[in-house]
Amino acid sequence: MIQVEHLTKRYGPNTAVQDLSFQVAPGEILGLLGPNGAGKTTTLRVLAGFLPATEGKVQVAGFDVFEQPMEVKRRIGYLPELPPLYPEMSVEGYLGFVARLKRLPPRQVPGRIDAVLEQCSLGEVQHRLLGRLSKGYRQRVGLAQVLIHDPPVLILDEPTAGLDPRQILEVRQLIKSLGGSRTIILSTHILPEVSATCGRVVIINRGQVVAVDTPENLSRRRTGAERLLVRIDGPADQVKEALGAVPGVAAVQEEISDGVTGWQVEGPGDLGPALAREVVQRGWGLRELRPLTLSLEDIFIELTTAEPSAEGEEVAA
Amino acid sequence: MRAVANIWRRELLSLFAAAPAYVVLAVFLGLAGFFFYNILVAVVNQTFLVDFRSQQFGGPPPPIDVPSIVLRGYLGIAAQLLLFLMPLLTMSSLAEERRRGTMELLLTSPLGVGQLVLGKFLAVLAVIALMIGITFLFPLLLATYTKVEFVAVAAGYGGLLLLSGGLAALGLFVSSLTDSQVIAAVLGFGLMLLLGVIHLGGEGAQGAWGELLKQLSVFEHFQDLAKGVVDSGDVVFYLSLIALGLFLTYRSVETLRWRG
Repeated sequence: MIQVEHLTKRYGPNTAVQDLSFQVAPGEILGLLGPNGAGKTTTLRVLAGFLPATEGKVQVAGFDVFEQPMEVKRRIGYLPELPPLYPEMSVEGYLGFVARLKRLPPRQVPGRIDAVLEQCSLGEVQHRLLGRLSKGYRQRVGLAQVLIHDPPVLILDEPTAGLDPRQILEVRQLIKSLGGSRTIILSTHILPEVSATCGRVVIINRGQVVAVDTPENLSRRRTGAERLLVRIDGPADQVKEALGAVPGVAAVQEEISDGVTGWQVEGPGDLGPALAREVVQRGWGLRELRPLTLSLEDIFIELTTAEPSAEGEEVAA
Repeated sequence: MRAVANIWRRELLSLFAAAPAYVVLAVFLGLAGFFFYNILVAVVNQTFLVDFRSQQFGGPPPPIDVPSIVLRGYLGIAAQLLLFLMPLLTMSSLAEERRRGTMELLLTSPLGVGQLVLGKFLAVLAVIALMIGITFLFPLLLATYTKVEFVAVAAGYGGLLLLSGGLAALGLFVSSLTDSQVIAAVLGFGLMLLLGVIHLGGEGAQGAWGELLKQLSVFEHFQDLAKGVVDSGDVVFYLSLIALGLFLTYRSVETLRWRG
C-alpha cells in the first residue's frame, strides 16, 4: 500500500532523510520510530505529498506521490504533528469544511460528520469552537479530520503527543481498531506505543533505517544467545563457580536489583534445565529462573546511539 | 468550483469571526460617511456662492452637476481609504494558514493551489464589495433630491471594486511570503502605497520614464473611472494587476513545499 524506495530529502546542505526504503502492506499498522530529529516528520510529509523528495520514489495506494499527487491525496488522511485546526471554527463546521475539502459528495457529508464524531467521542463538544478545546480534544478532532473521508491510508505524525495517559490509551485503541481495514503509518518516539499498536516497526536514526521488524522480534534478536536470570539461596562464591561450570554457560554476572542478589547467565542454547538440575543437586534453594529479553528501550538506545566515528563519516558524506 | 466555494466560505467565516473584517468595515463606513458629508456640504456651499454671483451679475447660473462632483470626490477618497485598509483584510489570509499549520492540511488535500488562491481572493473581494456596496446609499440618497446619472455612478463604483481587487491580489501575494501577519500587513501597506504614489516620481521626469511611472499608479487609472468614463485601458490595467497578484500568489504557495 505504501512503498518507499531510496527516499532522500535534503534541506540545502542538511540531509534530513537518507536512502530510506520500506514498505507497508495493506491493512498493516507500521510504526516509524526514532529519536526527535531523526527524520520522521519529513518522511511523513513526503508521503503525504506536502514535501517533494530530493531523490527516490514514493508510492501510496498504487500512485506515485510526485506524478499523480491528486490521486494520492484523495486516498490519504494525514495528521500533521500539530493538528491543523482553525480556532474560530466549531468542531462540526470544521469537519464539514474538511469533508468538502476532501471532495466527499455533499449528500454524504452530514452522515460522515456524525460517524467520526462518534468514532472519536466528540459528540459532546461538536458545537464548541476549536480554539476553546483542551489539547486532548484538539488531537481527537485532528484524528476525526483524518477519518472524515474514510481514506484507505492514514498517515499519523505522533498521534498521541500531548495527551494524558487515559487519552493515550483511548487513541491507541482507536488506531488499533482502524487497522485491518486501513493501512496506517504512524510516527512516534514513545516505545510502548509501538508495542501497543504497531504490527511492524521501522526504526530510523539520522534519516536512515537502522532496523525493520516486529516489536517482538526486535526484542529477541539483539540477545542472540540466551540470557537467564537466576536467583539462588546459597553461598555466593560457590554459586558463581557452580553456575560457570554448567555445560554451555559462557558467562556469569552478578546482578543486584531491589537488594536481592541474582545471577545473569549467558550462553548459547537452552540452559534452563541444566542450571536447575545443578542447583537442586547441590541442595540450594532455587528462587527464580527466567529468561531475560532486552526491552524495546534497550534495543532502541542501542540502535540509535551511533559510534562517534560513524557520525563523523555520515556528516562528511 | 465547489472546492473554490468551500475555501471562499471558510475564509469569509474567518474574516468575520476572527480577523478584523467587522472593524475594517466599521472604520471604512464611518470615514466614508464623514468624507461624503463634508464633500457634499462643500459642493453645495459652492453652488450657493455661484448662484449668488450669477444673480448679482445677471445671466443664467452656470450648470453645476452637484451629484457628479460629490460622488467623484467621494470615490477618490474611498479609493485612498481602501488602500489603507486593504492590508488589514489580506494580511492573515495565507500567513495565518502557514503559522497555524493548516497549510499542511490544504496542501495534502485534493485541492489545486489555483482553487485555494481563487477562493481566498474572492472572499476578500466579497468583503470589499459589501463595504463599497453599502456606500451605494450615498448616490441613492442624492437621488431623492436631484437627478443622478446612475450609469456613470455605477462605472465609478465598478472602478473602485476593480482597484480594490488589484490591491487585494497584491495583499494576498505578500501574505503568502511570510507566516507573520504583522510583516504581511506592513509589507502589503508599503507595496500598495508605493503603487498609489508612484506617479509622483514621474512628475519631474521627462518622456518615457515619467509616463511609465504614471501608468503604474493605481490612482492615475482611477481618475477617469471615478468620473464615470470607462476607458478600456484602465480596466485592462486593473485586471492585469489582479492577474499578476494572483499569479505571484499561486507561484509563491506552490513553492512553499520547496521552501519547507
